Amino acid sequence: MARPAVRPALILGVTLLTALSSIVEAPSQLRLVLLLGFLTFLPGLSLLALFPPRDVVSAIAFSIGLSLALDLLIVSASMYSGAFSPANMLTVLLAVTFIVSSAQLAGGLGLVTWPSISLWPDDPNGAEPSYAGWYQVTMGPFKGMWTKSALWPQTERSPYPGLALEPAPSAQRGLSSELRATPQPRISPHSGFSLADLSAQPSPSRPVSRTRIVSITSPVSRGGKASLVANTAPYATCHLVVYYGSGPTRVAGSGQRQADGEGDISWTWRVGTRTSPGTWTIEVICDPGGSTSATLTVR
Amino acid sequence: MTAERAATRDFEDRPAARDVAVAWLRVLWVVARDPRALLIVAGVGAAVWLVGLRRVDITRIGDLGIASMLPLWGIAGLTLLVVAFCLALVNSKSPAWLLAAILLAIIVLLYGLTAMLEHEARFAAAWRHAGFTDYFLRHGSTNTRLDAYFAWPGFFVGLAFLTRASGLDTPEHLLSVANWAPLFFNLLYGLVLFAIYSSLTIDRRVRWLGLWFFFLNNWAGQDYMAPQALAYLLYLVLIWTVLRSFRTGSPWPDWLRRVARDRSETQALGRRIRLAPLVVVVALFTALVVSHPLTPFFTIAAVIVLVIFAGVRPWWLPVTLLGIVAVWDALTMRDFLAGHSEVLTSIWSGISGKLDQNLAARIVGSPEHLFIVRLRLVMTGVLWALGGLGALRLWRSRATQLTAVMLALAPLSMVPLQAYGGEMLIRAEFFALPFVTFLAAQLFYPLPKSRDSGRKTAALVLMSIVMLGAFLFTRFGNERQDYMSTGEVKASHYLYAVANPGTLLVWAPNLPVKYRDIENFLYDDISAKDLKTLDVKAFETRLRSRNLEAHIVITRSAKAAVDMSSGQKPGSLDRFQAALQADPNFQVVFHNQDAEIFFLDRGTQKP
Repeated sequence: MARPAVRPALILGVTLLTALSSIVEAPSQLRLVLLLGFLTFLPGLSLLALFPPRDVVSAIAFSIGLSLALDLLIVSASMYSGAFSPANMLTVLLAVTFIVSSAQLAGGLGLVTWPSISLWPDDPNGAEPSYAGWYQVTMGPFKGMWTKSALWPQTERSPYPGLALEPAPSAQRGLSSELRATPQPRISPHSGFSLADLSAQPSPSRPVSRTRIVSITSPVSRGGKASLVANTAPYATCHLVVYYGSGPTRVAGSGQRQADGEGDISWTWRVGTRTSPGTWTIEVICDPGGSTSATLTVR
Repeated sequence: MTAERAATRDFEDRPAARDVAVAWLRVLWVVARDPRALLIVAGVGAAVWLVGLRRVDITRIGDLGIASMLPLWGIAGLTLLVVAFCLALVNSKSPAWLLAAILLAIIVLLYGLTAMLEHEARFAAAWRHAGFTDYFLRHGSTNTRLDAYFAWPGFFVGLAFLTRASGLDTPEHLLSVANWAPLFFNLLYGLVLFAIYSSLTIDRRVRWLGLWFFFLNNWAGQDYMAPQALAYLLYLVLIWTVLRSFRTGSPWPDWLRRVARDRSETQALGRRIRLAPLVVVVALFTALVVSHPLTPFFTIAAVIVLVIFAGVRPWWLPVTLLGIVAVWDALTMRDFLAGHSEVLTSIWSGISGKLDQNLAARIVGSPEHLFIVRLRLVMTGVLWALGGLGALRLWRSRATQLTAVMLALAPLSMVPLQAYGGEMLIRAEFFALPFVTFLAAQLFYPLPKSRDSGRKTAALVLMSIVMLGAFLFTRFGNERQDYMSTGEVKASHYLYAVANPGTLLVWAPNLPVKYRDIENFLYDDISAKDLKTLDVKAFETRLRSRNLEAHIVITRSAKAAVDMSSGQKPGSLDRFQAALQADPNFQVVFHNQDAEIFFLDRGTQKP
């Protein structure tokens, strides 16, 4: 089975098992255990399609909260409307979970393509809805890197021409071909939604950026310490670049840094005492994992 | 000759002893570095603990609770788990599954302990909650005139749904698994807390250690089959959602921003309000509001400090939440507040009275119970001190966790507002606990680059053992009164089998009653005055004045509660029972080793 289909298939399986245990009137203790598991995780887990998580921990926390909130609101509403019926409510919850996870399964298996539904109007990590503004660095130490900052000197960049990019030779040193050839028409989990996309994994033709900024020290005073924490693909090699008025600067030492097994990576550096005050773009570039940017205010 | 031999042996033994010591150190080193070896150590520890539990006879429990009945070698088994966890934590190469497995084992062993030892649902309140559920199942509606709990019916309606959907006849059957509720809830708390800690720090050691400390200090016992257990879970998920999705601004006002400069560790990115998380937060909060009276206010306090100190936007988020709770309480509590206006007026009645109810009124009872209460205070103090030192160490490292500090302090703001039956301080401590344990973990690892050392490992092991040892007393120290024996439950079943509707049920507090037909009976209690004066005639006159048949129930757990924590002289309820036995008007209708039921007829008095 295709990997994107595994999660909805599991949800579907447990949902069917819960339904079956009720239909055949299995022993109450077994039904209780199955029902508790179902009510605690599955309605929310199936609806994660609408609130795509960034990681497993988020998925679990979200699914627990969403499931229990849904359960409680549905049963309370049914009580106040005078329509309390455990059988009907269970049927509703099972049906919703069944339908949504079936739809995801169909999308995951490539049987159906679902239209996009945008529930997240803004992506905190700077995902772009279009490809406009992306360009490739043509010279210097970052040659070949794809970025979106307009602060990079005009003479050292070429605009992103569209999707039909030539894949770069994979043997080339530095950033990988995937990073350079796929300049961030990233399908951010929060920028738009399609049932099929949500369970889909990154593919060479539609890469998904995994890099996100977890936290950043901003504003920061000149001479002060700044830090940035990001999460990306496990063991990815990353650079941190700040686009000061004077041009792009690689901070926190000149070397690249590697994320740990959980994809966590952080930088701490001292902002120069002669750095110009202002708000500057800061970019995390990882291979694999793609890049993302934020702003750093220097006072 | 003998002396010569001894000298030779001494000479030969010294290097041998040194070799043995070195060999042991090597073994320890190998074990400490090998995840599989640590897992085996933890497994052996868990097995020893479980075997030790077989020695515990819960019916012989004393005023020090379960801990005093555990064999020392059983506790040593649990200590092995502690050592294994600490060694796994300080080894940066330990896989996450190892830490998760040991933590899971400790949660199961500690929070499943009462379910493993006791056959009947513990806590009188759990039985009462089954009674509310039973009422709802029979009537299909709630009744706030009958009990204020019905103003927040979410949990009970949920239990009703669970009961019927799983094919159980009555909520009473649900009580057979109620003792597993603490394990169920704590496992879920752990999952959500890990998510919260992940949004506060990237240092995995702090995440795991924060969780570890949480589970070694969660003695408040609010995780049984109760609305607050579920509401607490929703509170944690809501805090996580807000932390994860709404930290888009800066601390406010400006001077805070200056204070936090260079130190504030987080700033989520993006400015626009996000619809989806907002919908989720409102849904979570609404579910919380319909389930529990107190938790929404702790939640609002937490969200307010997040707006001020953590840059959570929009600023009107707490106002929205306050609006939801105001509308709900106004709609559902009219009937209740009409007869209980003191709930509102007590807000302004001064802090000293509330502290009396929360603290002084609780430090009474038998010497063993006083030890438990004082140990709770001491361990709370120790944990807060560790948390404070953690915050201080962070400050010195120029890396404050302002968000965690304020989330730890926010629940304390509720203490002056309401006594909540003398429980507010415990509740506030419970809501602050995740963030205090997080800060305590920061004491050991203020920065991601903080290194481990032998001394730090030793301190960690020692601190964990102290916490574990204290936890066995602070968590299970009241078990003599919380535990319900089969004899007591049989008496309760008998009571409901023979008592006619409209009968007066009279008891000293803490019984497995009210689990069914709550609206069919009237209730009274054996008061402190009755126990003090032992005036059975006055007691009889009081009951007869109501012109009802009365059943008076006296049980083992009620006696335990009177002896341990009521402030009455030990044996007060026994003496009152003897006085009832001596009075011919009180007829013994049920008796076993743990319970006795007396019957008092209406007499001749007319209404």
